[in-house]
Amino acid sequence: MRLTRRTMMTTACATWAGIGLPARAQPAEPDADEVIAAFIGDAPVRSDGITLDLPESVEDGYRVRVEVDAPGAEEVLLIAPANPVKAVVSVQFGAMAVTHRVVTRIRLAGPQQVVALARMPDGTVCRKTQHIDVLIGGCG
Amino acid sequence: MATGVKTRIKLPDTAGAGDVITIKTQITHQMETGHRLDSAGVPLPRSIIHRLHCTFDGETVVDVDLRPGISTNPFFEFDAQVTRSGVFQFAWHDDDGAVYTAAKAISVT
Repeated sequence: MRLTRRTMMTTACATWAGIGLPARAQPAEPDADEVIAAFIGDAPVRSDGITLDLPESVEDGYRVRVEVDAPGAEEVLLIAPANPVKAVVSVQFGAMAVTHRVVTRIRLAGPQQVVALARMPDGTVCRKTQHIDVLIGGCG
Repeated sequence: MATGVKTRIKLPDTAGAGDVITIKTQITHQMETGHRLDSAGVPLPRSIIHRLHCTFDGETVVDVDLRPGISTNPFFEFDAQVTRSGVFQFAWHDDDGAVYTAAKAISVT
């Protein structure tokens, strides 16, 4: 197909119609900043004390291994800002979970800055952000 | 209730007192996000496992709140320090109200 202005406009309109339709059908999801702000509250934020292990790039966003390691944390929250639902998973650790480490597999809709937050017993929140490239989105 | 749901637990049968053991869990579940459309363009309703609660003789080890961003067949790996023999219990809570459970004992010497 020759790429003309007409075909480009038609494709663009069709794409927007496709995106707009399901978006209207869903109830409003809080955006990533709201999810992050709700978790942090007015706690002091620091950038140490948490590690977020995920690949730099993946071909397939349907199944991405992610490891969050936050020694001492009471609770961790993982956020994918480019996903339809921003909060992906939160984990509360009991007294036996002494390493405060969790591994799981998540879906990623596209390339994005994944955020991990950890609530510490001293009232601070540790925050770690890591970029990941995703070739094929896993939220379709 | 979803059919053919299988749970899988991996943790050692025995451990020394004070050892930190690794627990791996998986459940077969489609984790329908609620964002996909069927062939007629109608959104498929959300149907996911939304909670995994692991306890050891009634004490919480981890309590996981799952959202649609978790992949099909949810997998979780975490650690626990064991000081005595007991039973690890696992409960997966489905959106449809079903609760799938599994248990595995560990002998601590």
